[in-house]
Amino acid sequence: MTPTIPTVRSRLTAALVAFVLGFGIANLAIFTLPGPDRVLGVVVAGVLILTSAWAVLVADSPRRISVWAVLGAEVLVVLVLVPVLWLVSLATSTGGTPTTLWPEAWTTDAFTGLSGDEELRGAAGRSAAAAVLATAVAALPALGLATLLARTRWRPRRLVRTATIAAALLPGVALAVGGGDLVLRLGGPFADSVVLRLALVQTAIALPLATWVLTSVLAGAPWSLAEAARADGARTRTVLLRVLLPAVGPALLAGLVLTALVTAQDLALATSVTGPQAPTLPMLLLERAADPAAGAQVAAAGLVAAVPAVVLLLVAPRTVTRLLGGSYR
Amino acid sequence: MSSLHLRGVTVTAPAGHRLLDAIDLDVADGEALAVIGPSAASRTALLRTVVGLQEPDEGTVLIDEDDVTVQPPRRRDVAMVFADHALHPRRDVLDNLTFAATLRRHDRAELAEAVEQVSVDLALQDVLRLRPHRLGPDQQQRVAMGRSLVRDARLWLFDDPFSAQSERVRPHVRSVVMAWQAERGRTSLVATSSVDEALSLAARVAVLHQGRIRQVGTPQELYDDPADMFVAGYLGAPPMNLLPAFRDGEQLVTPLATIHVDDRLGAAMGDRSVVIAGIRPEHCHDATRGSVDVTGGVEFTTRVDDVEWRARSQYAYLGFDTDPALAEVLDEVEEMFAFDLFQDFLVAQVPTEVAVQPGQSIHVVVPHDRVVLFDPDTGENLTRR
Repeated sequence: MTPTIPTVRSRLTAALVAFVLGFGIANLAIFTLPGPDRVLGVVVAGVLILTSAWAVLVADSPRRISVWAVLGAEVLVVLVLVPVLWLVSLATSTGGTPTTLWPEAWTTDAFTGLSGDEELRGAAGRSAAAAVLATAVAALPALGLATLLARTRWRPRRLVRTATIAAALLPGVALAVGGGDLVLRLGGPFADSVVLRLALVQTAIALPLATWVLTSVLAGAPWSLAEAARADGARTRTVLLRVLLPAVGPALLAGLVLTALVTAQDLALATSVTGPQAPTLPMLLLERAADPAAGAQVAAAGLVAAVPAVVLLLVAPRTVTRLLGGSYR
Repeated sequence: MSSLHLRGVTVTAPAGHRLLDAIDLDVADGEALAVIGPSAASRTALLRTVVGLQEPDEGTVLIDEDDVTVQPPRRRDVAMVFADHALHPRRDVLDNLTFAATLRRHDRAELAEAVEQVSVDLALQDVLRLRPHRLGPDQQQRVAMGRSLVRDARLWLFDDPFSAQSERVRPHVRSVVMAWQAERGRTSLVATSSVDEALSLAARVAVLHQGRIRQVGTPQELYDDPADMFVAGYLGAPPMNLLPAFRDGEQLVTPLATIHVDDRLGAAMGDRSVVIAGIRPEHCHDATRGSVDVTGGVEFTTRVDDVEWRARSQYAYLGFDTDPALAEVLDEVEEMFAFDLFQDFLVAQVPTEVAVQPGQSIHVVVPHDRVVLFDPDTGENLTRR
């Protein structure tokens, strides 16, 4: 769809909003913020005021660009950068809680300390193992459900889709109350292994999410290519290995990694089946966050824990966006 | 070399409607048969049934007298060019060309020779190492064709194989593909939505509409002696003029002319009081401006509403009003065929020597033996030879 040319009034209104925002932030920064944060604030204000000036210049041009979109993107960047900067500042602070967004002094002690923290490593390993196991367990039924949703005209598929979305939206706390109790009553290997208990209960998160992303994968699979290969004389195995897998393999992998990453972030369900002796990474970080002295280490661990998600987004932004149901151009 | 026979093949869509309805079709060994029909005529469904991607509800598919109805595609050895090209996005052109043949374990030397020849014939030699996304739609389509041509298959099926080619190169590509077909004597089924293409590329043409074969014959037979109103109204550019007509004694009254009911037309009409009269545009001779033998012909004089000039002829559009009662009959016929057959004008194809102007009077003569009558209830050609 070709975007329409915004009106002059719309662009001038956006210019006014950008100027007011910029002017406000500049005043706030100059009069209230200390040291390096003042510079940051002035830079943000400068960008907004420049956007305002640019918007006035292009107000009556035939270009299809939307000033509101540019302004929205700038606000989004600021809203994302502020907490990230704060986390970095916390993680690199030399002692106590930092007072500025931009770190006043840098140290990597908190990061180097992570590798030696047995409890943290154990919690991270537990989280990762349980998430991977839960995703692996969910993958097969999810593939079946995704096939049903993406490839069949079976009438109850709408019910399945609704149930999948409902399960994904169900509050973790609600699941934890019932699901946790049930899992704790299980005997056998579940009584001895925290990871197994975690994986079992976290399947409730992994299954609907995996179904959702795999439905996107299958909906985008080149089925006509598979049919052409069949017409060319390929057996089912050949079609699968030489046509479908090379085409959907990367998306399939990205979808399962995404599922595992989201599952590993679970807190409520994990709390219901583990104890303080064997916490997961989110549980441990939350517990330690209560102690102001451990702020740097918690922030450093949080930043490290975010690395896989950032890498996935950097490596396959289109795939991730498509799997989550959005469009990417 | 192989022959193909379909016997009462019926295919139902998942939504419940018939895609193919009791299809009987014979394609002789080494023959190229064109299948034409408008959109939703189920041309693709026909090819998918032959290749084995669609299992019929009823009927049998025979290749060389072998019943392959329930056999999987790999046992049929049929090559198909898909309308959407179906190229492997992660393989380059060369791999795409050889993919199907490699699956069949064709002789490597012969395959290499065939690939070289097809890449030259289809102008693909410069793009052999490129992936499909780097190619234009016309090149992608030629790769899809090449992939089938290099296969030593029993049958070749083509689904709209030339649609992405530009008008300039289409005849050349068509002749290249048909030359391959003729040289190797491969039995082929070419489905196309282009009537001109179908009439020019195959010795025999099958007209498919609403999942049924309406007529099979040579282009000349289809054009001169259509089996029904759909074939008459679908073939030809412009197609046959179809006018409502009612019998008044020994006369057949149409909105523009009165036609004498001679023995031929009388026998065709039987006791029907209403029929549809069909006249090809090129049989409407302009007696105003040229010397035309009008003896025994159907004559009428009317006003020219519009003129469309073509390189070798001009089309004069002669408007008329239809009686409301007959208009209802026409609506029912169009509903039956789910196709726009009738216009409120007659098209006369006249020579360009003398320019015809809108608003001028024109005296048209149609040879009596060129008038065709159709049954409005069934659409059947009543005057078929």
